[in-house]
Amino acid sequence: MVPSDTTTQDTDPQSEELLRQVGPLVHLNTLENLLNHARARSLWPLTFGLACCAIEMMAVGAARFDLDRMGAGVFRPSARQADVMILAGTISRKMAEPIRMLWDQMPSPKWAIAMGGCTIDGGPFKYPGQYAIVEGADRIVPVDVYVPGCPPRPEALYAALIKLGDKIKAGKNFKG
Amino acid sequence: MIGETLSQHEGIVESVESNYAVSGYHHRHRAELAHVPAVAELFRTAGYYLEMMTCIDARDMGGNKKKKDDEEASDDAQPTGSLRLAYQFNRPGDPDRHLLCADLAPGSNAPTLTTVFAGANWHEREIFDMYGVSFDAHPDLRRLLMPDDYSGHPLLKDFSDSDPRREEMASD
Repeated sequence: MVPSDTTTQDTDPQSEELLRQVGPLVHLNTLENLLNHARARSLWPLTFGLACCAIEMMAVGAARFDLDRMGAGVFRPSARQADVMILAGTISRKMAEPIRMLWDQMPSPKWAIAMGGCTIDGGPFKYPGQYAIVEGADRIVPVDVYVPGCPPRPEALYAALIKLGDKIKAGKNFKG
Repeated sequence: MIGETLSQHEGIVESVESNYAVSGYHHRHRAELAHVPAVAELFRTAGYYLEMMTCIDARDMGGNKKKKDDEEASDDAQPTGSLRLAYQFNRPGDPDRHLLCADLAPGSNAPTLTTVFAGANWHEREIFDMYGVSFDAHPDLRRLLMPDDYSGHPLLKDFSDSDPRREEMASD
């Protein structure tokens, strides 16, 4: 039998009925999209703090704010097991190189959150001719979410992780 | 009291009592730089510890001359004055704070205090990093705050940042 026009299958009332029944249960999409949904709520932050913002980051990780509710509560001690870098605090010029090395050691896909005024543009330590700090985390790593504050409240970092999750689920192309 | 024996010590140029409530010190001393380790040894044997050690750039760079109209404004005024190393000694229990100062020229060497107080190690590394004072016979004279391959000493008054990293790490 010679196969007729393929469109006949779509108009086949039996197939249509079948698709209508499984519709709520089956999503047809790319595998990447499924992976992104998993990644968004299973983040593995790297264990490191740079300055005072790290104290707020620890508060977020502890019981009162409980980052584990977002699936991002397990801070990894090795860059090779982490996929999100929370830059919490002033980045001194001496620290820039180790941070870049840690970022390079993290496997892709990976994301970065710049927490606090220092990591946005240098914050209170920025002045003409300063010799000590890096004026913004995005000068050394590609940042996905910026959290303003000095320091930001724990809720703000919490919101940043939710925001990052939304960004991951949206399936944008990532710089990292 | 250590103050009396100290004022007789070789290398002490000046030794005065100070009002603790006003200045935070009971005694102030000025010493010749070469004799500082011997003076520190005297403090150590008397039961004192090194509380703090720092440096200041006490040079007058001629930047405030504009206020005086009488004087001729000279743009290339030579800096006067020198760097000054400052040591603070104190003792546990009954506090007795001593300030010991010693002047030195920028870029010159100073005797290390690590042979007397091991804790002077990182203080001297910081002073080397920020002011460029080299401490003779220091066990590990590396930079403390700036990257190892940095050039220049940021807290000197005539410092300008020539670091190649500056371009990507700062906006000005």
